Amino acid sequence: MLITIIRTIILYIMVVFVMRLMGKRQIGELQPFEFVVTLMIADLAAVPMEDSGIPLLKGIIPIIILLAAQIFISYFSMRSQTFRQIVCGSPSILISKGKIMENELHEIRYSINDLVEQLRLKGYPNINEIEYAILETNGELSVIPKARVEEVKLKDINIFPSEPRMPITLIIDGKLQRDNLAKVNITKESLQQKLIKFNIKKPEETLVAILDTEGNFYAQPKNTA
Amino acid sequence: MRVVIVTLITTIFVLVFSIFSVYILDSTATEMLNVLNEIDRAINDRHWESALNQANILKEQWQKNHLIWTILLDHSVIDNIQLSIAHIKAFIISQDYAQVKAEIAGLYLFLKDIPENEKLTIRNVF
Repeated sequence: MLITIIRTIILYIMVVFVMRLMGKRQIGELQPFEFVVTLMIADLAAVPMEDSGIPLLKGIIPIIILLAAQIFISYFSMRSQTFRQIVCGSPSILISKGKIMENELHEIRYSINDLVEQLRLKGYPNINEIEYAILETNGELSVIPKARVEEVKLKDINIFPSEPRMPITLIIDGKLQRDNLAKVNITKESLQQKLIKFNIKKPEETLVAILDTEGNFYAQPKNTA
Repeated sequence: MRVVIVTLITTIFVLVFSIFSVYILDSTATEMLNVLNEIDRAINDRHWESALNQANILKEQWQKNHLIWTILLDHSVIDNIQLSIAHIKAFIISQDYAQVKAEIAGLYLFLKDIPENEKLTIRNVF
């Protein structure tokens, strides 16, 4: 049993490390080859985890090879448009200038029901309000609505606010984020002054303190109860 | 770019290790097969003492190669080989000709097949 525990920990750390190296994408945004690798890695790790008769290398080596395949394919996809097209395919325009592209739907075996369902999920229940709908290579549907149903933007009513700033975390769970404090030129003393306005005596009592996108300071104390 | 380079180096290392592991399995199996052949010859001539000495040499060789074989192969295969070696020694001591011949034949097949199964061939891939 102890052997199983140790093997599980080793393989878990390995899989986390591999996923980390594969890069930052959510499951729903993965390209097909990335999705395949993710599924396969999970299975490959599970087999030697369950069966201690199988050498650990028989799980680790395939995982390393899959990681290498994913990284090299991603790298060459980035460098070559042709390669990317072969591996990932190209987006399909399903609605163009308000008209449903029937041929394209047949080509990719996407039914009208699928299209309407995805549009509803995107918040567009009326198909006649869509100017363009594009099925991306990762399976997501991108929607560009007609101008008349687009949301009003500030520039449409001649309001031009200043650009938002990056929100900066200054304290997390009582710990000062020194790099961030240095970035925004806030000293520990001036931070303490700001905290007093939120009835917080010292940084260690702070759950979170941030500078928001407008440069305003906000802090919340820890639950002392 | 750093990740790509590190991955490339790791992949090359894994490939080299894989090729080397096939060579190690082959060479260690050949060593043990040679000793097994000596045991077989001694058994055929009914030289039980000589056969026992060779069996002890086989056991020592196995203990030397045991670790690397365990890392590379299924543990059930390792267990079968260990059992077979123990049987051979026991049958030599009890001078049971038929049983020891059968056990030698079985172990011979194991030691011959295992490196063959690890080689890069069409048969093994499919």
